[in-house]
Amino acid sequence: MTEGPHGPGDRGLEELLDEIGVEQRATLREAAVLRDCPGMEAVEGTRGARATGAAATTRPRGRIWSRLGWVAAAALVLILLFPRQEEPSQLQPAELGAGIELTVDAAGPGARRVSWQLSTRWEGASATLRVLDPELRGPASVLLERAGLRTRTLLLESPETPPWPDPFLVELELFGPGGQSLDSARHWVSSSDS
Amino acid sequence: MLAAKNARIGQALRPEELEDLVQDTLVSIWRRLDSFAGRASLETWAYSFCHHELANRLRSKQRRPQGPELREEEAPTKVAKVLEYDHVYRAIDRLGGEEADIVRLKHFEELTFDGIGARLEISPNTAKTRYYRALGRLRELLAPQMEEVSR
Repeated sequence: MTEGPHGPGDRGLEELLDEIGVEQRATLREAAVLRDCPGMEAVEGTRGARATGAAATTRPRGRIWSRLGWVAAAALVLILLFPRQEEPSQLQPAELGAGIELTVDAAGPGARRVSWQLSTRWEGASATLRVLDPELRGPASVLLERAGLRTRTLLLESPETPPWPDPFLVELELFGPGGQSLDSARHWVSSSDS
Repeated sequence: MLAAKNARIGQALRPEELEDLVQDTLVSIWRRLDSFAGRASLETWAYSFCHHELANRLRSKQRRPQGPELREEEAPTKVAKVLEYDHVYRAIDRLGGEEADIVRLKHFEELTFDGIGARLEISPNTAKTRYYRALGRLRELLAPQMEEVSR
């Protein structure tokens, strides 16, 4: 940024904004051809479900699946209970078969001030973990994880964001090497469970 | 979007870093979807989230001396651009409301004042007046960065 004739940034501010606009449009054009970029389809699915309330499930598909080589045998989902307490509580990790494990932590004193922490681990299979928000009409979903062998923890709440929906739905889906869905399971998680 | 952006800055983030960033950004976008008013396009709206998240990740990467180096010699210049642009995106966010949308529509979606007026259901003259008022506020918001750069 340079100083313009009428003070800092005066030059140039419109010029700079134009420059940013050019960069943004070029990036968006290039992004449009990256069809297997993880996450984009989930964004579009969420957008569509919000706009129409239509019951269209977002199912990430594409070339990436054909590259993933392992086949999973099965998937299960865990139903666990949440005690309300101020200290984080970790539920007993669940072995879901096929080397899949899901743990859920809950923390926070109030039903609407709960932070959720999902830890997932699985081996070999190509899998998709989604968290579905019942406050969005329709099965709008967000792709949170797509991995072969990963351990990852996701904090689903921060001070800048509104409270996480309660309850919410966790869905796990496993895919074969050709991208075909092998199995899926769902689990509602709620802080009111006891 | 992030993959394309990362490619444009010389693959500054490694694939695994990019994947984590995509997921975190997606959560961030999803959680704030309610703030999308629909005046600018979803892509324009979401782009600024991607830009913020990418800029944050690049900043933290720069702060970590033991972290992996940027992958190409030209990347630092491009990364600096990302950070510079991020100041502007954040300033536009701080403008908020219709003024922010007018700036986005004018520069990011290349609409004329007639087009902006039609989109926002205001007259072209009103759009123009509000645009220049928005520019004035943007200059104020960006003044600290401008002074830092000119020092």
